[in-house]
Amino acid sequence: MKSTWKIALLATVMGILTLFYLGLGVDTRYIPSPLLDKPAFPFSAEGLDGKGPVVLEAKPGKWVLVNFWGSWCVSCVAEHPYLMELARKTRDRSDFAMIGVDFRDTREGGLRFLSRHGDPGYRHAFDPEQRIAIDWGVYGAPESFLVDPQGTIRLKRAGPLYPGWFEQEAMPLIQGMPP
Amino acid sequence: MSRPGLVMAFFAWLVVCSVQGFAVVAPASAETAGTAPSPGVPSSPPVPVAATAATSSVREAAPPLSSGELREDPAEEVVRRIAKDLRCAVCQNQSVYESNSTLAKDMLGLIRDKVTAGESETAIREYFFSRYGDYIYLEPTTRGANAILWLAPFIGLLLGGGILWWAIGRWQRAGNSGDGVRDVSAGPAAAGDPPVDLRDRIRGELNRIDL
Repeated sequence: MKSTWKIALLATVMGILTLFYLGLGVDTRYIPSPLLDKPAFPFSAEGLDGKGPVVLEAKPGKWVLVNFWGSWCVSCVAEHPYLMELARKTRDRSDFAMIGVDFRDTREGGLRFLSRHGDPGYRHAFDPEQRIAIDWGVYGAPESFLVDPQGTIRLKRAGPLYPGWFEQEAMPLIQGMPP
Repeated sequence: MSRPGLVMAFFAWLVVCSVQGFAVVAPASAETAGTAPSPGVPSSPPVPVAATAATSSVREAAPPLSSGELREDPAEEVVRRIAKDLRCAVCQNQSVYESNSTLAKDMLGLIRDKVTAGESETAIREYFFSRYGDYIYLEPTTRGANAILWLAPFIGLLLGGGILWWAIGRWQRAGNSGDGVRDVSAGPAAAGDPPVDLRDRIRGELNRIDL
């Protein structure tokens, strides 16, 4: 009887310690998005370049990468070379497009960022009051969403895209779905 | 009343206190806010605007237009109610209403616009919940798996109470069936040293424990 109590006590303590240990790996700043596999919110917003609205809508056979950034964001500077490379590599693909959303920013700031770090060639929506960003559940920058041809959000990445992201994470999805 | 009965009564009291705790918090904070300026104390310079208006109306019956000017837009109350329940997504433990982060300020602006546009309170809450998930509420919802958060403490309390009931019952039985030890709780409280039979009993129980 007494050994049963000892084992029960030991098991309880070990259980609590295990829960503590599992808690160590939790990033409290990360907010899991409930938008995965849900329809993306289409938007039509003023372009950063001032040349008419930038529109996101479901297009048959077209995957869209939506990248939220701002000139105030340090990680965006680190991410930028990869976005430039990705835009160059995928320029000829008919099934992939990119859109940027410059949020919480001034127009001068956004344009200066592009002239200083390079213009990847795709268009950017200008979202100074972060209405689009909040609509997409964005809480930091950069954040990227991959939207499939049906208009469903299939991937979300909070933080910079890394070199090789397209091949590792996007390609399997794009190839897995018939156009 | 038997000892297990007393223990259970104590646990029941704990449960009642914790349940009431949820309801008591809000009125208490409202009360302290309302009774801040006491009438007997001469008012020092930094007195809230509303308080000055109240005291002056007592002394010289302030004209009605001053209270009209101070009245808050009723929509703002709805905005505040919604924003105080929403958690700022970048500062973890502040509400959207209190936070100074740009995200929270823009969220507040969005809530204000939505309230002005006539959207219902539940629709606005749902808007943020569907985009940020469970994180966005300072007080988690009771839906789905979250019910565990709300029920587990009470289940634990009941479980603990049950185990204690059972254990105390066992000790009592063991004590009563022992070699003529009288029930300690029955006698008057000893002023000095414990009585000899009690001391024997304590020593006996200590000897029996091996941990």
